[in-house]
Amino acid sequence: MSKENSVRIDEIKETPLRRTLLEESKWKANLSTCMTCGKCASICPLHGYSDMDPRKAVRLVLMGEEQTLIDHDFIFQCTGCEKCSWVCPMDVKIGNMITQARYLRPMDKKPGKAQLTCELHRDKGNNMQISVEDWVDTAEWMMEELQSEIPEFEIPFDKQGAEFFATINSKLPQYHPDEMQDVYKVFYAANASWTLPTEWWEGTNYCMFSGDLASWENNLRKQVERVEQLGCKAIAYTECGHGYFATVAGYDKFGIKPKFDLIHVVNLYAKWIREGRFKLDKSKNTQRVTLHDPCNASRKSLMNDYPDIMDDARFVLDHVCEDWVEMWPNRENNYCCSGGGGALISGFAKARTYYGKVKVDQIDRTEAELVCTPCVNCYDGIGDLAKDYKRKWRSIHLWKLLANAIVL
Amino acid sequence: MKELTSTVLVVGAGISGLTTALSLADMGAEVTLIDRRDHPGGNAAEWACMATTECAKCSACQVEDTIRKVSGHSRIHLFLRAEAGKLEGQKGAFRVQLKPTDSSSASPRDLKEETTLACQSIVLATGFEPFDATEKSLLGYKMHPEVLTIPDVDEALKENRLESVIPTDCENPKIAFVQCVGSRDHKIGHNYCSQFCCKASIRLARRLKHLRPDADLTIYYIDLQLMGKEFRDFYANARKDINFMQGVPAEILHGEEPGMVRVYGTDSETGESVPADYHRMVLAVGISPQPGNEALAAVFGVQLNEHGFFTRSANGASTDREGIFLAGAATGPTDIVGSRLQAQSVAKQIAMSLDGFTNNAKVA
Repeated sequence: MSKENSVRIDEIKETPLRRTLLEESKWKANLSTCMTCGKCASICPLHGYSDMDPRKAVRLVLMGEEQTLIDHDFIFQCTGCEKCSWVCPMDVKIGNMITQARYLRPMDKKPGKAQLTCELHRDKGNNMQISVEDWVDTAEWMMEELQSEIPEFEIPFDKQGAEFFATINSKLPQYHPDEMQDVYKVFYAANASWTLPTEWWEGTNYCMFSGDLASWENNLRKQVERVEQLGCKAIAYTECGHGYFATVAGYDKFGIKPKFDLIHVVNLYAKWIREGRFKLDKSKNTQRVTLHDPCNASRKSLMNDYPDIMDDARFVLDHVCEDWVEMWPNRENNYCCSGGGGALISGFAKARTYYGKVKVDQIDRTEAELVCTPCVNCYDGIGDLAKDYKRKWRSIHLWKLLANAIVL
Repeated sequence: MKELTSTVLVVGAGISGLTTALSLADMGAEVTLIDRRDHPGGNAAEWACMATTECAKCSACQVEDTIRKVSGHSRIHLFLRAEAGKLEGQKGAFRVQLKPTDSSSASPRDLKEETTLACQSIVLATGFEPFDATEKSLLGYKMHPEVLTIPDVDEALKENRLESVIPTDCENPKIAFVQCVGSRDHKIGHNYCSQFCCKASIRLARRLKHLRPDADLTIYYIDLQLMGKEFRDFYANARKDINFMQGVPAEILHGEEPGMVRVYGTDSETGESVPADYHRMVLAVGISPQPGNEALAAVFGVQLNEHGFFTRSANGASTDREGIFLAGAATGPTDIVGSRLQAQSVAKQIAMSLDGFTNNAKVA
């Protein structure tokens, strides 16, 4: 290239994405330290699906071509697993860059239903626009089912002063209501002081991933207000990595300082087992199980210094399953379920199938029948992969394995 | 306690220490040379000759050659399994305590008892340690039997057991090298190039191709660091029978077939993802500072840099403490040729700083 045609990187005009990534310390992405080693591309499950990969994305932004990235489907096919950031030897925060690119996509140009769920969450208190009446009805219906096993069980709705405020992902009442019995059974058997709120119980928050910052903050503040009204000591955050991460990260981002703790239920299960609160019978779970580490409650929590569930999920499995095996790679090195970061509802089904090929191979090698997914989102992500690739294994929540093993 | 006198103490009998000692002794100095290991030659003593039909100028033979010259030199006193314990005095009049690392040893070259050495100058030539590839757990070293390091292959070649590292039960074994393992990695504090590994991998790949002409060889690299006026031609020749892939994999997965591993690369022309299965992956592990540097820096009252290598003073060859000099990979990454050049230069600077070696004290 002749000197006249060359452009100095620092002379490229300051564009919105570059400015955010260079200036806001929280989102500092260290883009200029990229030496194009290709490690990010080598582990990105989307690499090869389209003409975009993480390394190329970094180049585009560095060269002042960020609009190409902002307009590219890649940023919403990306599941935000952030394994690229994790393996980057120069600490380039590629995940931050993709998140910021999503934020710069205009609201009406965001694909699929991710943004719709944010608005429903904001306006109706949950992603599935379940009314208080329907919520109570479903919760009580499942209570009645459980009463055949535990006759004295009653749901502690909106119980003032309860220790734990339980969140529930709206997919449960909507699609898997039976599993609410498992959640009840765990709280009951632990003899926990808990409450099931009738409002702002939603255990997820897609706004972080869609890039609707106002709704993200609104939903967090509404829930905090409700927890504080009830005087609970902690939110027992349900098995949803996104919800958990968007909550801890959101408290930081928006400077929310709640008067209570936030604890992931998997950490609670482990605590309760250590305290000897359950009588457990492993022989109730004889099928081979493997563990899928949800990115948000594992790698991403670790990278951001939030409590993660990696050790405790394993501790619980040791106590509730006869035969569980690791997949490889695992823990903070794990591959995403293919449905993270809003990809599950962004409408790119073919991209997700492509994305999942390493995940499927990981699971196949364990010869497991069940894939424990302590995350409602991963549960569906892995479930879809089993369908797409015609596999016999299926996903299972940790609360199900725990509830099975509990002897009353 | 035993007492000895020398002109110079050289700490570390790798290629840098050996060359420094030899240069000094050839100029007339009395040299005490110590090493913690049970053999001289350091890391490079384990490296195999890389010659194909012609010499590849890997310099591995220079190590054996230098050991031979040092061993037969009347003015060099080599003590193995020895380390420095305490230092007193200053330039021109140092007193160093030398301690055996293993007092039960039987070898005649080992230091037998605690000894005080009087000397005028000191050279720290403690070398390096190969990066521990298990630190990069995603590469699966020690987990996938198919994943090796350059030192593993070198050792096998040196011991004439190539079949233990390259499968003999298949035609066209596929072998790939992964560059920059433990180098250019800010996350682990190694934001430096180890300088010798690109050349080492290309030489080793050519040697393997020479020994197994049916092998299919690939090198995954970031950007090739090929210093030296002759190496460009060597590289141009290497391109004829080695595939070069820009971009290094962060992770090594199980391959489709048992006995193989998989990595994903990128096609430089099309940008497409290129999955590839290999029988063997060879990790080009870089240079880590000696773990003992910290203790040694405390003993000698000298500084380490942010990476854990010894810090050079402004003039280049010495530490900030007068009379204590540095050579080779103790100061940071270098190769055999670079180490030897540094060593010869240090020897001359010491000779100048002491006004020559005419007033040599003989070993007591």
